[in-house]
Amino acid sequence: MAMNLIKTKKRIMRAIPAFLNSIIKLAVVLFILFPFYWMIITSFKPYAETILMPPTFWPKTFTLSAYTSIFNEMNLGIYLKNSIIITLAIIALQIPIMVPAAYAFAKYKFPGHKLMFGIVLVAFMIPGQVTFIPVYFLMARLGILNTLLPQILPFGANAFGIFLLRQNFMQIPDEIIEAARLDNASELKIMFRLMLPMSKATMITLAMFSFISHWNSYFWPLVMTQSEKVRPLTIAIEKLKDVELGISWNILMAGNVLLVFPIIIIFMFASKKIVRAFAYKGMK
Amino acid sequence: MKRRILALVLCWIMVMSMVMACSGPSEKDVTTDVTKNATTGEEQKKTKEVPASVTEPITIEIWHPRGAGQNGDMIAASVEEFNRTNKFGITVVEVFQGGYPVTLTKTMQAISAGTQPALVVLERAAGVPVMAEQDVLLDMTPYIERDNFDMDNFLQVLLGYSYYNDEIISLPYIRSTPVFYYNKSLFEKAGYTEPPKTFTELEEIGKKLVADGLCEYGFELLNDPAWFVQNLMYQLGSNMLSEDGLSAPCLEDGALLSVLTSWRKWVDDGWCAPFVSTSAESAMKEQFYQGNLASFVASSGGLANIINNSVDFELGVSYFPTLSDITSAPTGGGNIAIVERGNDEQTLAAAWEFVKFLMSDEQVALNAANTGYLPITYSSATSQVLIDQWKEQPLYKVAYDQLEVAQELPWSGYKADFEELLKEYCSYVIQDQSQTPEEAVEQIKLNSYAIFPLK
Repeated sequence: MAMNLIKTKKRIMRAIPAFLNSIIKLAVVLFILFPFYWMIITSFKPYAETILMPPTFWPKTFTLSAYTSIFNEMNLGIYLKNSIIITLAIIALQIPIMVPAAYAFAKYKFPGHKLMFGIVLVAFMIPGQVTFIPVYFLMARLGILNTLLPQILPFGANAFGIFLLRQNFMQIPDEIIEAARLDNASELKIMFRLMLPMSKATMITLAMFSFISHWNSYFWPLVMTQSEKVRPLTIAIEKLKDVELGISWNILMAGNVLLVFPIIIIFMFASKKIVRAFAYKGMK
Repeated sequence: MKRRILALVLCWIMVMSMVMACSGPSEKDVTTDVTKNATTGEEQKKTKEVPASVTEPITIEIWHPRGAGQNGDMIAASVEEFNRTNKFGITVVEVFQGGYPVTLTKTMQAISAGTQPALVVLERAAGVPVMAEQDVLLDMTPYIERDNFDMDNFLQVLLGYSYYNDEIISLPYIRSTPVFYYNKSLFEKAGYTEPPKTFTELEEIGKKLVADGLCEYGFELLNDPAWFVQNLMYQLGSNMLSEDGLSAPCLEDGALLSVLTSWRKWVDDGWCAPFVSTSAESAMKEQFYQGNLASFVASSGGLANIINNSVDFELGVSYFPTLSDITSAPTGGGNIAIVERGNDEQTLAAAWEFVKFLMSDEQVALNAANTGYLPITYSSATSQVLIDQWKEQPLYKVAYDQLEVAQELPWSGYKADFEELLKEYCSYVIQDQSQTPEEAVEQIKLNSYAIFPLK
């Protein structure tokens, strides 16, 4: 009996930390999810309810008016199309530039490779705010300000991507590459058929990071665009605020839902790969 | 050793890039670039006396800060109407660029890159002088003379930022004046049927409203010193800036101290709400719509929207109350200007046609009727659209009537800096309450020596 009591006591003592652990985790999850929840329910409220004090945690009157007014008043299709083209084009442009560069830095010893890699690192330390004026003038002189190119071309080389991919390639043993060379595989084949599949998790992570940062990018397109037809979704959201009108929270939040929706979907599919890309590093 | 050098180099580069990022290189660079660029329009103007007319179809852009809602719809409708009806084949494209500051910056940036619009809507006192002093705006005088365009038809108080060095460089467009909005139902519950004319009356009403538990606050004043504090100082016989724009008389004659002391007392007495830090105007109006706040002053430009959202009570609108026996109100909002630098004769001529169109009675009246902006010309005020609207909703007329007591801030190149300074110290006194009005005025005085030229 006494033994049993001690055993249960021990079990309880052991369960308490696990229980606390779960509680804390749950609290963190709620803390992170709440703004998203708030954004979504606000987008379904009428304006009067969004400013109600005390606030309602579930829409009393459920309405799609915010969404209909966004779709009716704005050419949302154009902005959405631009956002998609820009982000996908950037990713498509980055891969053929990033992979050979990372491969060369990881596996070749050529004169000046350390200096050149240093330059790549420097590139990723310089903030965009330093370069935007010269880049803007460059684009203006090239006469391409009214196209999507100023939002795509400057991001063709992703310094952070080259760095991350190089670290990943360095972990792949040279023997595998040599074996492939013995089988007469070309360097291109080695890069894209051998190295790339072995760094899938890193590639997906990089594509994700690129996607999120360019999808959410506000400052760069604000500077580089001056007409509606080349503007991405982020700038369109800004238009939902007006000097005299103030902020219509439901409309603004509906815009934000549309803006973050693709990111949430992609993240749900890719999150495991991202964790793996970083965990892999830790094992080395 | 090698590593150390590399690390040092990297550190240096990081520091340099930070320094470059913080030093704000844009303004000077842009200025010099702007002056370097060839000035096609100006040269042509000198050789020709009578300005050109539009000879073939052309597309021009107007950049503006009119976002979503009635405001954005109105400019879209004006553009559509003009494109459909003008006989020159001009196509205007309207582009929203952000608020007034973003629109100004983007235009300056575009001028130096050679991708400027033909027309731009600028905040009258914060935008027009900046561009006028860069000499990039078109002097519309030749067009005005050619077309016998009547400048006397404008409400004269709105023309303060139209003339510069005897040139007409901008015209009033989306102009407004701050009016007193109040919850009539609440006021009546407290036993007041008339809106207050003075702050003494407002104080009495505000205190009664709060004491009776009818609402949380009786009144709120936003931190917009170039509008509200300036107007209160004007009522005390002083001003924020001197007539020549080179000094601040309110610092010497005690007007600023007097206004700040009163304002702080209203807040300390608990009937006047202190403003909040972010999105203050939206937050204030939200409190008003819910009946927590009984009155405030704000731009007449938002009237249509305020009417729409004041559903649970009767809305009242009246003149800006006074601190003395002088009733006065400032004006604000945006002027329209034509960008001369970098644009050819045809573009300028087309831009003028659109300006003329916007100043037609019908357009001015529609613009006012749909938003709450002021009808900027005398003749538009007699148009059927406005007569009908004023009959149906008399609140719209208050802002127009208030213009008879309106005053304008003198043109000054130091306005923006001084306004920023006032804003900072108003928040110390009213919101943060970390300084007394005396301390704040003392600090403002000291800091103002760095803004205004020495006498």
